[in-house]
Amino acid sequence: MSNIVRHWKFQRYSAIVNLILAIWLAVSVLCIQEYSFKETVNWIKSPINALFLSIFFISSFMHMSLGMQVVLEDYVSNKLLRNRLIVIIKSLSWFLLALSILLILKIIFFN
Amino acid sequence: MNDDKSYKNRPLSPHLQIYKPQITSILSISHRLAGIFLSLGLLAMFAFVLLLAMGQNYYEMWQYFSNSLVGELILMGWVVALSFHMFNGIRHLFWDYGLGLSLSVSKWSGLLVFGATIIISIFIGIISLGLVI
Repeated sequence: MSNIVRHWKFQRYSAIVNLILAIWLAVSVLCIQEYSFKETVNWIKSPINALFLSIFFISSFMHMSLGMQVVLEDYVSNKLLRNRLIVIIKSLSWFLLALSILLILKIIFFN
Repeated sequence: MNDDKSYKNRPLSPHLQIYKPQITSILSISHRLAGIFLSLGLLAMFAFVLLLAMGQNYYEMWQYFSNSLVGELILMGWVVALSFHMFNGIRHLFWDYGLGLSLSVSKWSGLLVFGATIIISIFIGIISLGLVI
């Protein structure tokens, strides 16, 4: 599979995962009443919420970096600048994704 | 394929200002703008989890933001952008299967996306203001 086909497919896989999880997230967020520190921590501590939130972060960071890459390819005509921006966005996505999973684990086990 | 010169120099479609604005073209560029705006929303979600993990004092910074007028407007902006990007994304998925590509269908499906976005945004806005639940 060439890179371009893989890009196209993963953009759509992540879109479908996001579609399902965005509905779950919207319902969950609207169901939390007070948003006190304790209530929010307890929400993340529930295993199903922690799992879905982690999958949401994985899928969203993937969808974001693939989408931003297309936008940069279309609107930044300077190739050197364009490629650097794409590398920055991809690295940042991986870094923030890894960190967000670690933060969720931190909340589950140490809060 | 990637290193092919013809790929690197692939043609781009003429930029926006060449075309007369139409419902289809406006929705197309709005999809991208919403996507870029939602990237910031994802960063905000990351910040939310970060502040939550750092403890109660830091979480209060988030509460200060989300309870302020500016914060509420930005959050509502993300609700609108996400609804729109989601409905229009479904439209794109149908296109990928070759469905609804004709001019007439893409016009009314565009109007449907626009209407659904407004309705769901108002619905979520009313619920989060605490007027219903």
